[in-house]
Amino acid sequence: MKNKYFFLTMILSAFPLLMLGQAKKPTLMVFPADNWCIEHGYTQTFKNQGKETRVPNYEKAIQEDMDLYNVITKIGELMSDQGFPLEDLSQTIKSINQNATELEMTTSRTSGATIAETPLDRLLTRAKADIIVEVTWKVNKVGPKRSVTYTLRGLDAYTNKQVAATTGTGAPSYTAETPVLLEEAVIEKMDGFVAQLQAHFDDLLANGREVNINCRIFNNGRGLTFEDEFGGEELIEIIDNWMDENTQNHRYNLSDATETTLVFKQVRIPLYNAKGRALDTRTFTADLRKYLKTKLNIDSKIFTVGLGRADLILGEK
Amino acid sequence: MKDILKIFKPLWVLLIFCLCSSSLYAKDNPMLHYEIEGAGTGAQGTYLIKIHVFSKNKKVSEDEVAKCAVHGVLFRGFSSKEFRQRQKPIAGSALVEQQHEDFFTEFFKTAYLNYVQAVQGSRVVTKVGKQYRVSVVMSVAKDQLKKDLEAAGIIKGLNNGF
Repeated sequence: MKNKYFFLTMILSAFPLLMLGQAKKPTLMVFPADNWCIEHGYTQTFKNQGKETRVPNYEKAIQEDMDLYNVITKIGELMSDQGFPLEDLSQTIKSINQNATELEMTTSRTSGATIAETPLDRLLTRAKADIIVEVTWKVNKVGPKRSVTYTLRGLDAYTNKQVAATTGTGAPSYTAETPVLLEEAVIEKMDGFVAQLQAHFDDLLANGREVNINCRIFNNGRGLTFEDEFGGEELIEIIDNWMDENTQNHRYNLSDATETTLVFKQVRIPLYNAKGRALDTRTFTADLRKYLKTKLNIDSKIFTVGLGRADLILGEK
Repeated sequence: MKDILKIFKPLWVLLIFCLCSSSLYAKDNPMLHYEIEGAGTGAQGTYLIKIHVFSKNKKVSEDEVAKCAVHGVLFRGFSSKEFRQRQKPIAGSALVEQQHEDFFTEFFKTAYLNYVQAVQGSRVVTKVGKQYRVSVVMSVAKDQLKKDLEAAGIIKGLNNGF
């Protein structure tokens, strides 16, 4: 009988662990660094409100530069070996173009309606990842000797923090060709990069995901501001208190607070909610939205960018 | 006085146990004095390193050198000015060796030999003072080593937790 209770207790205590989902995995994508694109002429120029702006042309770079293609492929191969496959830039660009064509062609059979797409949807349709891995290199020549200076850095797309990096110049060679020197550089530097990335993931798993949350107000003429008082407390204070209660170890930073904007940076959100479901910035911000609706009857709309940034816009849907 | 001794008795027992176990561990795994440095970029998935083992006997076995090579890659890391290399230790630090003492005691009996290979004709013996320095270039299968340590739960992989 005692044994029965023992096994029952064991099973019940293991139940929450079994229910726990897996934390949402960040996506990584390798991009050529801006300075590399500029140096090799893979840019496009356009006028932004009268000001000439030069931006990297990744599609052209991938299609025309064999060295870049090889470097990205090699980094992808080494990351797959680590059990962490990357999203591929060239394939993403192709699929964006393909999806755009498919969206334009798709209509409903009954009314012939096209698929709804806001200008914001179009703006967000670009190659993006949670961690951007930037790669750049330079071939150095001293007489007949050649070496490669290679830099690889991982940037958190939402906090703009450099989470992993490796750089250095390889041993000079008289005979090796550039692709061989590049391959050596990628292989040589990858372990250091992976070790730093591992440290970043360890921190994320221990202290929660670091994200940015912005709260704004729709300019709909109703005059709602973050300084409005509800039961003797300003809306800023109510949201600030909610953040304090719901962030991991109360870690967040209200960096900007005006009557129309609240910018929360370094917000550590838990990886799982109380139900054991994996949490991302959208689900975390949705809890704040529900809280504002039930407690203060304020409607709000969530707008998310990837795993790590959410904007909550108050006033209406 | 007796009372004080009584209170500290468990601590003494613990201390003696720790000393005995560490000396037993050292006895089971005699690691020669060695130095490790990079020897260029190895084939994909491997580290090419040069191991300098210091011994009073110049007939240091290949297995002993191999043990030092794997130990160095796991717990010391290596660098080289000549080849402009720097690699951190795979397992993190010597602290990990203590934390997983049982595993590494067993590992350094024979299992380590699966991950290392000497480069033929690279053995050089030089007399340094009263002892010999035996230098061998070795190739360590670091990717396989890493994968097996991850599977054994000794180190974490990038995918852990996701």
